Amino acid sequence: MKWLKNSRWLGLHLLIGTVFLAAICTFALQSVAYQWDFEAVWAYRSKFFSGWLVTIGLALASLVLSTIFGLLTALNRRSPWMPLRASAILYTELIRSTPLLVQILLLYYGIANAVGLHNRFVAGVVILSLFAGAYISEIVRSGIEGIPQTQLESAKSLGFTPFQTYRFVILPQAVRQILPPMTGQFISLIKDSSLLSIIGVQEFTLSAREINSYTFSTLESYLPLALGYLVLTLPLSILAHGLEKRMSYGS
Amino acid sequence: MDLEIRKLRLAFGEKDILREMDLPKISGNILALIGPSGGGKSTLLRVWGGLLKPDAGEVLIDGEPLPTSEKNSRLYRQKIGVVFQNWNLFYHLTALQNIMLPLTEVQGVSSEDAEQTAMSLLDRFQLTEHAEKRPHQLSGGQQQRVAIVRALAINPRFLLLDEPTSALDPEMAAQVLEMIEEVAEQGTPVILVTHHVAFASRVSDYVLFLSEGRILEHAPTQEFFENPKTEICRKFLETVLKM
Repeated sequence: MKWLKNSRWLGLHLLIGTVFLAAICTFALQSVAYQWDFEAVWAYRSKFFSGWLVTIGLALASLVLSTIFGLLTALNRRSPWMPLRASAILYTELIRSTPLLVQILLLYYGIANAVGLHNRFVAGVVILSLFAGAYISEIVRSGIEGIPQTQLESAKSLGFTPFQTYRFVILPQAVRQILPPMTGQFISLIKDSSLLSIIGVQEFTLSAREINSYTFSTLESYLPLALGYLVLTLPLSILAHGLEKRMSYGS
Repeated sequence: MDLEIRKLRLAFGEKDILREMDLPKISGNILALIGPSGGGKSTLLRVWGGLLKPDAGEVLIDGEPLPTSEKNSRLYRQKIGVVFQNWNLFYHLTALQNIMLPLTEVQGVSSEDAEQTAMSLLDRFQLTEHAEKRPHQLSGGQQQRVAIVRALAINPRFLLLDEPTSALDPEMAAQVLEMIEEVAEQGTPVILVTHHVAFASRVSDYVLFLSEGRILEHAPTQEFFENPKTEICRKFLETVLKM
């Protein structure tokens, strides 16, 4: 349980950091004499909550779809057939070289409209998955390529079929490499889903922006927003840290 | 075990590794492959192991040519044991699981029988206490010894060892060599690529000397060491035996 102890250390550091940050914020707010008014915002708490649930839904659905995209792309990149390899490379490079916001605008107002996809939630999940899929394919690829050649040669010399080699050697070893960065990718998904507010997906950030426009209580709207994301991402962050420790081979 | 090679050629891209290699029919139970690095020793071992396909030529073992189709090659590989220089053991599995996996998945042995076979072999080579350890918890020498056990567990026709001690410090290397000697004495034919020429001279019964992709000399061990015929071989032996 050494990794758990390490996670506690991480937690402690985060706590100290938070207290420090809070002190700075308090000081800054006092100097501009900000008048807090949480009452107006409190009236919209159910809107906050439903937006938060939509964000969780977006992240979970995108996690599944982007993993599928990522796996397919990673396998295509290992394909012996050149056009498959080339299209996989093109996809990853295009996605990784343009801002997510630009992709959202182009794909939603361009392609989604053209193919008649008007459900904003579904469009949002597809766009976010295309984005994350490119990164996941790289995670998967490096997970597979990180396996020493002798491991594969050993499997071959023992008479394993290619399928058995994937099933008993490549996959179990790659999963160990892949799991920690995948957790980090999931954190990014949760945060990046906030950009979908730009195309009107009724998620957490859009809820907060609307509440702000109803109440004119900027910080009272956006502080809960930040907290709502932290509640989701911090535990994952600690999990990723623990996985990294546990999945390593102690070398 | 009888070995024979006719006009064997193998290249990696532009680079010729084995060039028109010939070996008349020879017999031996513990064959040592020695010679300078880059001479083609490991490549020849991989051809015998069914891991590399020659570009041309014929390789016969006990009078039979090596299989050519991928399916037959795989069936052939299932019957021989191979141990490489390092990273043999699957590092996500324990020593015991490493030995059992090929038995249950490839050889079709029940897991009870596989475990019994594995444990009795581990016991025979004083490795029982390491059964539940993963490779990173074992020393390099222990890893190699478990790898040899894994290769033996399938009851192979013969054992191919590719410099199994070159990544080890002298003390561990000695333990592994001792184990190889024991295996060979019990009758499993062994083909060994090694830098430990003194060990080869003591344990093997036949020596092949490879240089630049050809078998430059071959002879029963005693004859080979008493009377090396070529200048290259004499110089090589002088250098390595001085150390």
